[in-house]
Amino acid sequence: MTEESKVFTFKVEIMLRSEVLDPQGETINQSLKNNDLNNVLNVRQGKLFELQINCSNLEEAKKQVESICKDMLANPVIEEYKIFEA
Amino acid sequence: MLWHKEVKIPEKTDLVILPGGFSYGDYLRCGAIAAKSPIMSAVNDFYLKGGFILGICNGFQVLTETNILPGALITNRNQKFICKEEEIIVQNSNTVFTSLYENNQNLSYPIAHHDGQYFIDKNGLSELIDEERIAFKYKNNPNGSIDNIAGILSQNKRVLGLMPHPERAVDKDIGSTSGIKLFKSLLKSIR
Repeated sequence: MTEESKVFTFKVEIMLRSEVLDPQGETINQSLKNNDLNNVLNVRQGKLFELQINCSNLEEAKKQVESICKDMLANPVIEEYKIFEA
Repeated sequence: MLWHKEVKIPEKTDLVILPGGFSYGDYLRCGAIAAKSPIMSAVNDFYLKGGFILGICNGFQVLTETNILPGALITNRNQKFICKEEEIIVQNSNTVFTSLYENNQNLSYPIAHHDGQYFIDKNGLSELIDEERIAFKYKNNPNGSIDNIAGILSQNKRVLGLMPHPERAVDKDIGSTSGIKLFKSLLKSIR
Protein backbone atom coordinates (compact mmCIF):
# COMPACT_ATOMS: atom_id res chain seq x y z
CA MET A 1 0.00 0.00 0.00
CA THR A 2 1.45 3.38 -0.91
CA GLU A 3 1.17 6.42 1.27
CA GLU A 4 -0.95 9.22 -0.09
CA SER A 5 1.01 12.38 -0.84
CA LYS A 6 0.13 15.60 0.92
CA VAL A 7 1.10 19.24 0.64
CA PHE A 8 3.24 20.55 3.49
CA THR A 9 3.94 24.24 3.96
CA PHE A 10 7.14 25.56 5.50
CA LYS A 11 8.55 28.97 6.25
CA VAL A 12 12.27 29.54 6.02
CA GLU A 13 13.91 32.48 7.75
CA ILE A 14 17.35 33.54 6.56
CA MET A 15 19.52 35.99 8.48
CA LEU A 16 23.05 37.22 7.87
CA ARG A 17 25.49 35.71 10.38
CA SER A 18 26.13 38.03 13.31
CA GLU A 19 29.71 38.69 12.21
CA VAL A 20 28.57 39.84 8.75
CA LEU A 21 27.84 43.54 8.37
CA ASP A 22 24.20 44.27 7.46
CA PRO A 23 24.15 47.71 5.85
CA GLN A 24 20.38 47.61 5.29
CA GLY A 25 19.67 46.83 8.94
CA GLU A 26 22.04 49.61 9.98
CA THR A 27 20.35 52.11 7.69
CA ILE A 28 16.91 51.20 9.09
CA ASN A 29 18.27 51.44 12.64
CA GLN A 30 19.68 54.89 11.89
CA SER A 31 16.39 56.05 10.44
CA LEU A 32 14.50 54.88 13.56
CA LYS A 33 16.96 56.80 15.72
CA ASN A 34 16.47 59.88 13.53
CA ASN A 35 12.78 59.55 14.38
CA ASP A 36 13.56 59.68 18.11
CA LEU A 37 13.21 55.93 18.70
CA ASN A 38 16.39 55.88 20.70
CA ASN A 39 15.58 52.73 22.64
CA VAL A 40 15.93 50.63 19.45
CA LEU A 41 19.36 49.09 19.95
CA ASN A 42 19.86 47.13 16.78
CA VAL A 43 18.12 46.10 13.56
CA ARG A 44 19.05 43.16 11.34
CA GLN A 45 17.27 42.55 8.04
CA GLY A 46 16.60 39.03 6.77
CA LYS A 47 14.52 37.11 4.25
CA LEU A 48 11.42 34.96 4.61
CA PHE A 49 10.45 32.21 2.16
CA GLU A 50 7.30 30.11 2.05
CA LEU A 51 7.63 26.68 0.43
CA GLN A 52 4.92 24.19 -0.42
CA ILE A 53 6.17 20.64 -0.77
CA ASN A 54 4.25 17.74 -2.19
CA CYS A 55 5.43 14.70 -0.26
CA SER A 56 4.25 11.46 1.33
CA ASN A 57 5.16 12.43 4.90
CA LEU A 58 6.31 15.32 7.03
CA GLU A 59 9.77 13.91 7.83
CA GLU A 60 10.68 13.51 4.17
CA ALA A 61 9.35 16.96 3.37
CA LYS A 62 11.43 18.48 6.20
CA LYS A 63 14.57 16.74 4.92
CA GLN A 64 13.95 18.12 1.47
CA VAL A 65 13.50 21.68 2.75
CA GLU A 66 16.69 21.29 4.78
CA SER A 67 18.62 20.31 1.68
CA ILE A 68 17.06 23.13 -0.37
CA CYS A 69 18.21 25.58 2.32
CA LYS A 70 21.77 24.24 2.32
CA ASP A 71 21.98 23.97 -1.43
CA MET A 72 20.32 27.16 -2.55
CA LEU A 73 18.29 29.41 -0.26
CA ALA A 74 21.12 30.16 2.17
CA ASN A 75 24.82 30.70 1.61
CA PRO A 76 26.49 29.22 4.72
CA VAL A 77 29.48 31.54 4.31
CA ILE A 78 27.34 34.54 5.25
CA GLU A 79 23.89 33.29 6.30
CA GLU A 80 22.01 31.11 8.80
CA TYR A 81 18.59 29.59 8.24
CA LYS A 82 15.69 28.41 10.40
CA ILE A 83 12.86 26.21 9.16
CA PHE A 84 9.33 26.52 10.57
CA GLU A 85 6.39 24.27 9.85
CA ALA A 86 3.57 26.56 8.83
CA MET B 1 30.46 32.37 -26.48
CA LEU B 2 28.64 29.78 -24.42
CA TRP B 3 25.03 30.22 -23.28
CA HIS B 4 24.06 29.45 -19.67
CA LYS B 5 21.80 26.62 -20.83
CA GLU B 6 24.63 24.78 -22.56
CA VAL B 7 26.16 21.79 -20.81
CA LYS B 8 29.59 21.41 -22.43
CA ILE B 9 32.74 23.43 -22.77
CA PRO B 10 34.45 22.78 -26.14
CA GLU B 11 37.56 20.54 -26.11
CA LYS B 12 40.87 22.40 -26.11
CA THR B 13 39.40 25.46 -24.40
CA ASP B 14 42.34 27.39 -22.90
CA LEU B 15 40.44 29.75 -20.66
CA VAL B 16 36.86 30.23 -19.48
CA ILE B 17 35.80 33.81 -18.75
CA LEU B 18 32.69 34.51 -16.70
CA PRO B 19 31.82 38.12 -17.49
CA GLY B 20 30.04 40.74 -15.43
CA GLY B 21 26.37 41.68 -15.55
CA PHE B 22 23.38 41.01 -13.34
CA SER B 23 22.49 37.37 -13.95
CA TYR B 24 18.88 36.62 -13.01
CA GLY B 25 18.54 40.14 -11.63
CA ASP B 26 20.76 39.19 -8.68
CA TYR B 27 17.64 37.60 -7.15
CA LEU B 28 18.17 35.59 -3.94
CA ARG B 29 21.87 36.54 -3.76
CA CYS B 30 24.16 37.92 -6.46
CA GLY B 31 25.28 35.01 -8.65
CA ALA B 32 23.24 32.43 -6.72
CA ILE B 33 20.78 31.46 -9.46
CA ALA B 34 23.42 31.55 -12.20
CA ALA B 35 25.53 29.19 -10.06
CA LYS B 36 22.78 26.58 -10.55
CA SER B 37 22.55 27.04 -14.35
CA PRO B 38 23.45 24.04 -16.55
CA ILE B 39 26.77 25.41 -17.85
CA MET B 40 28.18 25.73 -14.32
CA SER B 41 28.54 21.95 -13.89
CA ALA B 42 30.77 22.00 -16.96
CA VAL B 43 32.69 24.99 -15.58
CA ASN B 44 33.20 23.11 -12.31
CA ASP B 45 34.49 20.04 -14.18
CA PHE B 46 36.80 22.31 -16.17
CA TYR B 47 38.10 23.73 -12.86
CA LEU B 48 38.61 20.25 -11.37
CA LYS B 49 40.66 19.28 -14.42
CA GLY B 50 42.93 22.29 -13.80
CA GLY B 51 41.43 24.64 -16.38
CA PHE B 52 42.07 28.39 -16.27
CA ILE B 53 39.07 30.52 -15.28
CA LEU B 54 38.65 34.27 -15.00
CA GLY B 55 35.54 35.62 -13.25
CA ILE B 56 34.91 39.35 -13.46
CA CYS B 57 32.35 41.15 -11.28
CA ASN B 58 29.15 39.03 -11.48
CA GLY B 59 31.41 36.25 -12.78
CA PHE B 60 33.39 36.44 -9.52
CA GLN B 61 30.13 36.30 -7.54
CA VAL B 62 29.06 33.20 -9.50
CA LEU B 63 32.44 31.53 -8.77
CA THR B 64 32.01 32.06 -5.01
CA GLU B 65 28.43 30.75 -5.15
CA THR B 66 29.67 27.56 -6.85
CA ASN B 67 32.44 27.22 -4.23
CA ILE B 68 35.13 27.32 -6.90
CA LEU B 69 36.40 30.35 -4.97
CA PRO B 70 35.95 30.83 -1.20
CA GLY B 71 34.05 33.60 0.58
CA ALA B 72 31.11 35.66 -0.62
CA LEU B 73 30.29 39.07 -2.08
CA ILE B 74 27.75 41.09 -0.12
CA THR B 75 26.15 44.53 -0.44
CA ASN B 76 28.55 47.47 -0.52
CA ARG B 77 29.01 48.99 2.91
CA ASN B 78 27.47 52.30 1.79
CA GLN B 79 24.45 50.54 0.21
CA LYS B 80 25.11 52.25 -3.12
CA PHE B 81 25.92 51.11 -6.62
CA ILE B 82 29.46 52.38 -7.21
CA CYS B 83 30.63 53.08 -10.75
CA LYS B 84 34.06 54.72 -11.06
CA GLU B 85 37.75 54.12 -11.65
CA GLU B 86 39.43 52.73 -8.60
CA GLU B 87 43.09 52.29 -7.65
CA ILE B 88 44.01 48.63 -7.42
CA ILE B 89 47.27 47.27 -6.03
CA VAL B 90 48.84 44.07 -7.35
CA GLN B 91 49.50 41.60 -4.50
CA ASN B 92 50.77 38.57 -6.36
CA SER B 93 52.46 38.92 -9.74
CA ASN B 94 53.47 35.28 -9.81
CA THR B 95 50.34 34.01 -11.58
CA VAL B 96 49.28 33.46 -15.18
CA PHE B 97 46.93 36.43 -14.81
CA THR B 98 49.41 38.92 -13.40
CA SER B 99 52.88 37.93 -14.64
CA LEU B 100 53.36 41.16 -16.61
CA TYR B 101 52.64 43.27 -13.53
CA GLU B 102 54.91 43.81 -10.56
CA ASN B 103 54.07 43.30 -6.92
CA ASN B 104 52.69 46.47 -5.30
CA GLN B 105 52.13 48.04 -8.71
CA ASN B 106 49.23 50.52 -8.76
CA LEU B 107 46.61 49.99 -11.47
CA SER B 108 43.46 51.82 -12.36
CA TYR B 109 40.48 49.55 -13.07
CA PRO B 110 36.84 50.66 -13.21
CA ILE B 111 34.40 49.14 -10.74
CA ALA B 112 30.63 48.95 -11.33
CA HIS B 113 28.82 47.01 -8.63
CA HIS B 114 26.29 47.06 -5.81
CA ASP B 115 27.38 43.83 -4.13
CA GLY B 116 31.17 44.02 -4.14
CA GLN B 117 32.04 43.78 -0.47
CA TYR B 118 34.19 40.67 -0.16
CA PHE B 119 33.58 38.64 2.99
CA ILE B 120 35.35 35.58 4.34
CA ASP B 121 35.73 34.28 7.91
CA LYS B 122 38.97 34.70 9.87
CA ASN B 123 40.34 31.24 9.09
CA GLY B 124 39.54 31.63 5.42
CA LEU B 125 41.29 34.98 5.35
CA SER B 126 44.44 33.58 6.99
CA GLU B 127 44.46 30.80 4.40
CA LEU B 128 44.23 33.31 1.56
CA ILE B 129 47.09 35.32 3.03
CA ASP B 130 49.32 32.32 3.84
CA GLU B 131 48.83 30.78 0.40
CA GLU B 132 49.38 34.13 -1.39
CA ARG B 133 45.95 33.94 -2.95
CA ILE B 134 45.05 37.61 -2.73
CA ALA B 135 45.70 38.87 -6.26
CA PHE B 136 44.53 42.48 -5.96
CA LYS B 137 43.62 44.91 -3.18
CA TYR B 138 41.87 48.29 -3.32
CA LYS B 139 43.90 51.29 -2.29
CA ASN B 140 40.83 53.10 -0.90
CA ASN B 141 38.45 50.20 -0.26
CA PRO B 142 35.25 51.66 -1.81
CA ASN B 143 32.89 48.84 -0.76
CA GLY B 144 34.10 47.72 2.69
CA SER B 145 35.77 44.48 1.56
CA ILE B 146 37.60 42.56 4.26
CA ASP B 147 41.36 43.29 4.16
CA ASN B 148 40.69 45.60 1.13
CA ILE B 149 40.41 42.54 -1.10
CA ALA B 150 39.51 43.20 -4.76
CA GLY B 151 40.44 39.82 -6.29
CA ILE B 152 41.41 36.34 -5.15
CA LEU B 153 42.88 33.14 -6.58
CA SER B 154 41.98 29.48 -6.22
CA GLN B 155 44.38 27.21 -4.36
CA ASN B 156 45.94 26.04 -7.65
CA LYS B 157 46.16 29.73 -8.77
CA ARG B 158 44.42 28.84 -12.02
CA VAL B 159 41.20 30.67 -11.16
CA LEU B 160 41.02 34.42 -10.61
CA GLY B 161 37.90 36.23 -9.45
CA LEU B 162 37.83 40.01 -9.14
CA MET B 163 35.20 42.72 -8.81
CA PRO B 164 37.02 45.45 -10.83
CA HIS B 165 36.85 45.33 -14.62
CA PRO B 166 40.24 44.89 -16.35
CA GLU B 167 38.41 44.47 -19.68
CA ARG B 168 37.12 48.04 -19.34
CA ALA B 169 40.66 49.36 -18.88
CA VAL B 170 42.08 48.56 -22.31
CA ASP B 171 41.59 51.72 -24.39
CA LYS B 172 43.03 55.15 -23.64
CA ASP B 173 40.09 56.87 -25.36
CA ILE B 174 37.74 55.65 -22.65
CA GLY B 175 40.03 55.75 -19.63
CA SER B 176 42.77 53.60 -18.18
CA THR B 177 44.76 51.02 -20.13
CA SER B 178 46.14 49.15 -17.15
CA GLY B 179 43.93 46.12 -17.78
CA ILE B 180 45.72 45.24 -21.03
CA LYS B 181 48.58 43.49 -19.26
CA LEU B 182 46.24 41.08 -17.51
CA PHE B 183 45.12 39.72 -20.87
CA LYS B 184 48.65 39.83 -22.29
CA SER B 185 49.85 37.87 -19.26
CA LEU B 186 47.23 35.23 -20.02
CA LEU B 187 48.17 35.05 -23.70
CA LYS B 188 51.82 34.68 -22.78
CA SER B 189 51.31 32.03 -20.13
CA ILE B 190 48.53 29.87 -21.49
CA ARG B 191 49.31 29.60 -25.16
